[in-house]
Amino acid sequence: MNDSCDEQFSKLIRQAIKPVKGQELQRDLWPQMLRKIPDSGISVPWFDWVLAALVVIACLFIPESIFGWLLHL
Amino acid sequence: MNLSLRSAVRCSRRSEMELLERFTQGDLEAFEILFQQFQKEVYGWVIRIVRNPGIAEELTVETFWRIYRSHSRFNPALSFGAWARRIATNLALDYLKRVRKEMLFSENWIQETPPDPATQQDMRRQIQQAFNQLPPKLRLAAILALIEERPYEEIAESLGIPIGTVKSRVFRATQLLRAKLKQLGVEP
Repeated sequence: MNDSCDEQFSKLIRQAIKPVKGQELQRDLWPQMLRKIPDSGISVPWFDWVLAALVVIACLFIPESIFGWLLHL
Repeated sequence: MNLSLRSAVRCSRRSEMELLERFTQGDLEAFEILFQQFQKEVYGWVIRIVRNPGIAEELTVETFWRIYRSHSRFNPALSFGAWARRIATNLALDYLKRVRKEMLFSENWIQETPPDPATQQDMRRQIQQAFNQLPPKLRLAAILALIEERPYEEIAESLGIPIGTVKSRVFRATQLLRAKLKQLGVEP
């Protein structure tokens, strides 16, 4: 098969399937990227939230315990 | 090159090396700078292969996610762009393997130029169909070489294979396409 035949074939292919032109990225993908990175933001483990909630409840129902908590600080 | 320009180039190379070294140490800020520098390039490469803006965005993010996870393995003396492109190409190839039976080149594909009136609609559909039936590795080489007209060197580098292998894949893809089109009654 000669080169001109190959070129003719490539041309036919390009007529059927157009090359990608002018398809630029329309937006910044960094926010999407950031969501994939687990330690990129401030993330608090769930058990820390539970502990904090328990301390708040204890302070509300047993106000005297506040002094006890303060001793631990 | 004059002295001030040479020192500016040296300075920029040094800061680039510093940036890459910070990235290899897991510095998120350095990674963000590299992401901003290369996201368009990676997307531009991926969309040529997958031909779908949504999928190209997803694969671009996935490429950088893999880059981030393997930051400690990167050698700062090498090209970050070439490394990113190779990871992106492998991901795009995996995508082509997944969608093998689906239509990659759909009629809905946004085309910048109107279709050539000389080309028959039917023939165009048959060529697209024949293209979709190619094995993914051959399809990838054919998309980049025949449709996008990228140089063999660039394709070889992005796939991490010798130029000879790219040429042979394009040749095999061409042979298969001709045979399939002949079966479909199209004589190119």
